[in-house]
Amino acid sequence: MAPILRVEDLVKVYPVRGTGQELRAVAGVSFSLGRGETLGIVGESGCGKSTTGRLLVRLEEPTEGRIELDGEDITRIRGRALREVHRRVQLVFQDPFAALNPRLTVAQTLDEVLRVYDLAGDKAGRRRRVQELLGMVGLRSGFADRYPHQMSGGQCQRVGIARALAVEPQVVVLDEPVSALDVSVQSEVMNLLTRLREELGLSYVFISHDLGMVRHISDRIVVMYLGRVVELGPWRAVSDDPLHPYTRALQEAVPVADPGIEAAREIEPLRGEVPDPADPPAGCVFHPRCPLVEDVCTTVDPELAELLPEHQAACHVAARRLQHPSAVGT
Amino acid sequence: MTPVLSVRGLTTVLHLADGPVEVVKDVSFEIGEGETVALVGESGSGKSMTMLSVMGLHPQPTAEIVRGEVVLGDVDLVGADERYRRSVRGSAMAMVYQDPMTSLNPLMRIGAQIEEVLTAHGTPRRTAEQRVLEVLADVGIPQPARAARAFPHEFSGGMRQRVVIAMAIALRPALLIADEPTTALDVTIQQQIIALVRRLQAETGTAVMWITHDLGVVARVASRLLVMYAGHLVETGPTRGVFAQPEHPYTAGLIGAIPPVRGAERAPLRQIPGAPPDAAHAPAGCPFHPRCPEAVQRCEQDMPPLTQREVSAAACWVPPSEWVA
Repeated sequence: MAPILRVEDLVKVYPVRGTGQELRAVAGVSFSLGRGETLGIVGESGCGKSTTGRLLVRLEEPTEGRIELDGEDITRIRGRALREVHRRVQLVFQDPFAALNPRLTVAQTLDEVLRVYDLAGDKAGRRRRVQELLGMVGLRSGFADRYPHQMSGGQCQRVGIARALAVEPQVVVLDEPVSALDVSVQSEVMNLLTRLREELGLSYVFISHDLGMVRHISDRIVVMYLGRVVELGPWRAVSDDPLHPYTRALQEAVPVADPGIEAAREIEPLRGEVPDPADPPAGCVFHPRCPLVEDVCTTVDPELAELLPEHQAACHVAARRLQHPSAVGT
Repeated sequence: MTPVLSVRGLTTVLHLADGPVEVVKDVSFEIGEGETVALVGESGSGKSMTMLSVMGLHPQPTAEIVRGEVVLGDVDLVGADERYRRSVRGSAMAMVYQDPMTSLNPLMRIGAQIEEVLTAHGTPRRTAEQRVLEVLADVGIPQPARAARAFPHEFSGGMRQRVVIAMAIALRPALLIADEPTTALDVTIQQQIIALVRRLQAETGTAVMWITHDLGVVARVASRLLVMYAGHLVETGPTRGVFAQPEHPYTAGLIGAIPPVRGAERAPLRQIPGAPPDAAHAPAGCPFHPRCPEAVQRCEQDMPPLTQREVSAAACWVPPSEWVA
């Protein structure tokens, strides 16, 4: 079956003010999202994951590349057609307070969306739909009359999710949807997202810096670094047996809530910091920090290649090891 | 062994428009020499107010310590005068905040800022200049002499946090209080900062109080942990023991709420219904009872005392053997 969403060689370039330089926030990203699938995108700040999310929902127009929704090219569409794309592909933001209008009650927030998209009929129909949406996200009907400041972060995020679902989207792009929430509230929202996906047959793009959350919810995982996809594959393979040294470093950097494991672990932190995206290193952009760096890495940017079935990575060393496993003593 | 810090019955109130409310409620703990203790809690748990009270930096007069002792070395800081407190802040105990810019003056060169800390506590200027370069090197900042002449904005977030740590350890404090020092940083940078603090600790024997909401960080850094909820200390014990066998349902819930990064099969995450209350507006009885799967009637009226159990001390009326969840 054709994917619901597909991006090819997506590029987003921003001018850097006053310097004449260009910042390639997204530097050639390709992937697809299957129907009913959850694709996780993980990476650290500046890796381009949020920009990718904004391009997917067409809040911004890509500089180059192509975005297809259900087989249709939506890269440059405008006007009425763009509005329809905005209905079919919804975005849920990280900060639930900032994403809601403080002057509107929950009912008004949801009603507004229904009116704008002319959904759920007349006033009475919309009121019924508001109640239905609240039920879907696990909020009592009394929440309809609350303002954002009268709710907790978790409750606001439920409203944010309800607003996204109000327009019956096919794809929901979730940009760090639980990162601003307390730990004890995160799990509830994660379980809610999982349930809604099953009930409504949604497809998710789940963007997060938190590898544990991404591993928990994704069918496949994309790892981004400095605007590029460095690894892409089935969730278990990427999280538990990563091919790219950056993914491995990322995974080892995350402290595990298990003191037995942590005590036994020799921590060798990844050296250096993420380079300036306006001035990326030559060759593989990860090479200045990479523990496996070789000469070729400093000059040749590795292609994202399928090194194992369904499992891609952009790494010269990983590629050689998998092609000639006996040639390398590991 | 004499503890570096001994907090006994610490109670801090906030004076709000409708009267005073306790936000730190009868909190007691000790930190031994060279030990790393994690103070864990979510928003509104009172963990930051606890540490501000320990430092004597709680926002006065809105916040007031009404009971308890904070004994550093052998002096009770609550009873001491402000001049004494000021003399120990930065020297005997130092603080590292989540946002390095809280501690850094954006208009002052890095070196001058560290030097100021040193000279304010009596280090001669000439010695201080030399010490600045030493501590910058200690925290892994390349080219210390050049870095000392730079301004904070010339550094990345991770490097700024290193500068703040350099400033904090400049006078070799017996106690370092780190308030979510890595929360704003990327994980690979967090890992560098954790490794740095561990190394400094091994070299200097400084005790560290690590305040965090991240149980992964707790598992990585702390030998003992203190769990706070709505102003109360609800569980305290050795990290390994508590993770293996939590004695408070809140601790158990927090541990179960975190998806593993690798290895394990995926299962629905353990949920704690509702949201953590503000310590100032906590429910009566045990403040966790409305969210607690184990709550019995007694929990609605009486706050259980912190009681020593098998591995840890917990404040819960229901022993784990009787838990249903």
